[in-house]
Amino acid sequence: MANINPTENGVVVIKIPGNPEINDFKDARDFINNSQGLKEIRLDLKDVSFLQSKFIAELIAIKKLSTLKNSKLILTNVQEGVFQMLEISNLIDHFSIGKDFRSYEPNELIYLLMDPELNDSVIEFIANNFDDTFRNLIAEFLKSEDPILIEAAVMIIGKSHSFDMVEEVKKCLTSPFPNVVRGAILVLGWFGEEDCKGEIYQFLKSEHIDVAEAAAATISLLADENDSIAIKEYLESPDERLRRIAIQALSLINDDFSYKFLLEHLGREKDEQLRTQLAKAISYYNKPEVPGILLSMLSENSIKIREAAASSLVRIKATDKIDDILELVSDKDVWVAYFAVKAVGALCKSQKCVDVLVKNYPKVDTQVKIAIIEALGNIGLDCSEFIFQLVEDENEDIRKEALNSLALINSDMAAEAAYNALNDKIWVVRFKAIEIIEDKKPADYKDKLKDFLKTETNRYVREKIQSIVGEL
Amino acid sequence: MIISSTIKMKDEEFAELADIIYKNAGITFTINKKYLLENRLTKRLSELNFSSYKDYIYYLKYDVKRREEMKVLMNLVTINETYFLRERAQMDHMIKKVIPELVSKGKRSFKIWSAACSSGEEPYSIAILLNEEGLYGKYNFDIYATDINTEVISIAEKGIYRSVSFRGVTPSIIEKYFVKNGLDFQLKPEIKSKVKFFQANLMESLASSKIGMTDFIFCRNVLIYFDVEAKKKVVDMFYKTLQIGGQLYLGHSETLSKIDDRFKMVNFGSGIAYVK
Repeated sequence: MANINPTENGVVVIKIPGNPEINDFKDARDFINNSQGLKEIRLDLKDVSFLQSKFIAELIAIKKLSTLKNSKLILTNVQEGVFQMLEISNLIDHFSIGKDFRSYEPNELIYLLMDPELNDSVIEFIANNFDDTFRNLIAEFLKSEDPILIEAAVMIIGKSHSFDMVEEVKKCLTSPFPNVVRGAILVLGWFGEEDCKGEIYQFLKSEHIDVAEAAAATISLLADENDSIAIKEYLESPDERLRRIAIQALSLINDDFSYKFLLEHLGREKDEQLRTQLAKAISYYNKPEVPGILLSMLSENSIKIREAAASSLVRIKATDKIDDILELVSDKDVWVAYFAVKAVGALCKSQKCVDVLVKNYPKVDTQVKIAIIEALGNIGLDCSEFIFQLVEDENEDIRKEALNSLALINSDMAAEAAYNALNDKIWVVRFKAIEIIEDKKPADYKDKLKDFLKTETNRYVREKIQSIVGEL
Repeated sequence: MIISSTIKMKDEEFAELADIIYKNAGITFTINKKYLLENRLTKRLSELNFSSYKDYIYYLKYDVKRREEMKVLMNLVTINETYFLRERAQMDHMIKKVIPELVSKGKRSFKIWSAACSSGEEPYSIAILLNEEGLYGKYNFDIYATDINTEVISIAEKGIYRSVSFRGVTPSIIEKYFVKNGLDFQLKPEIKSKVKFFQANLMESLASSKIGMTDFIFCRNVLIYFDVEAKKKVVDMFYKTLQIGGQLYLGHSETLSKIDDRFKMVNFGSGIAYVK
């Protein structure tokens, strides 16, 4: 018999037994039919390893009923055999599928923790539902010799804010397992355990990069002004790896001292990778001179450094440097030009920028052309005639991006172009066209999309249309 | 680098990336696995200074280094974390039940294929268990191990592991077969030499040609990433590669139901084998 558990917030969990019968699905349907205001229906198939064809029809009936009742239907904990059955029946795209760990017993969750793909989600789940049962479970983990379980215990303590278990976490700093040490360092940072800071410093030199990075992150969380000074010394190390960790730690601390030290170090550092890292690190400081520093780094010889500086210019709001950035639109390095165009699109709202981008368009490589079209859409000034002609371009990404920008600039033109693009031979363009139609919602668009669905063969486009028209 | 949060993927970006991955590796990422792609690719985007997957898609399509990047992408999406003696029951079934039966019928040479071996834990586990059972020396075993991912093959060939690869493995096994060097565990040469590794894409018809006819195939927790058509293609290739009576072992959640009805399913209590 189906186990039906309604909750207070309009969500119902319906658990189908391992060897289902038609009545289990009928019970579910009756419940949905007789309920009001159901927001979400979770059909839990955890114990169902295989579904006969007759049950597939029942699933479709539940889907249709949930659509009728404006409830979201999610199939949870779907086993591979059922998944395969849905796939073979071409139904997979019609159902939302998810995990719901509430159906699992604690010992079953241990098994799921061992699955590397599920490990993080199981930790989150236990942390969010932490109670005495889970407290006992993680006490067992901590006693085990399994590094995965011990690390999970530490992370659960941290994420459930179980401050009373901090001593257990501190003990893990001496674990022989680097993943456990890393977890302990991070959790001690979240807990604000300043007493441990001195001990954590030693891990900056750890041979395990994950441990060293965790130490840098935690020190920055616990930092006061003395820490920037202490970490500065690591910038002098002949060990490139240690300098990298120091740059990371200083940029995370993000105070005036750390900024000063990073800037000084920029004047000395010769390593290309580290200079690249410095360009990014400095861009996270809200200082008026940062845009100038990044622009000056664009004159370096290394392509990597130039690209990092250019991409950082997108991130910061260097509106006063827009003229300098505009000059980079025609840079010889394609990615410097690409990021410069992106920055222009993000920062500029003037006709001058539109003119420069349009003027440079014929001279640049394909990906810069695409970035220019995107930037023109973001700027938002009317250049629809220029963009409209690109909807017919021979390159599909240009056609796709042109549709997108047109939608940002001229709604009427975009809807017309999107309908035309439904016949495009490349699916990514058709996909974009459907997104635009969905957004603009022209008259009778659902009927037109339903008609179009009859001939569409691409799975992604079909899935997109089905999600809009709600058709099964 | 500690990334503060994953870069979120738009549906349009997901569809295009999933399509690229499917065409290049035959691996299907359905929308409910979007988080997996986000987790695996965020760090790469950050390395390339990109803030969106759209930038990355254009990099894959237009950059002069696109071919190299495609390999990087394939390696990132096909990496399959595993550990020694994972789902051991199937290995025990092969070693303690099936091989003795075949020996009793006069067979003396066995070929075993770990078809998606990742960083080598599975084929080396088989070699360890064969050794534990005292079968080396009495009979001839060839263990072949393949993976699409060149990066994991190179890790496997080195045979150096960290503690996370030993979840659930008894200390006595670790001590017997590995030499501890700092935090590394180096597999001893007598086991390392038992496995031959090479790169192979299961979606390509030539994947099995380097192996030839085989007695056992392990392909666990891989078919779940393929769509039905790809599964049928791969399983058909396995069928053709297996000797009559040969055994195919899949992951505990995987099934051949509706995929291939030529195999006989044998439920041996703690697991399932598919027999040709």
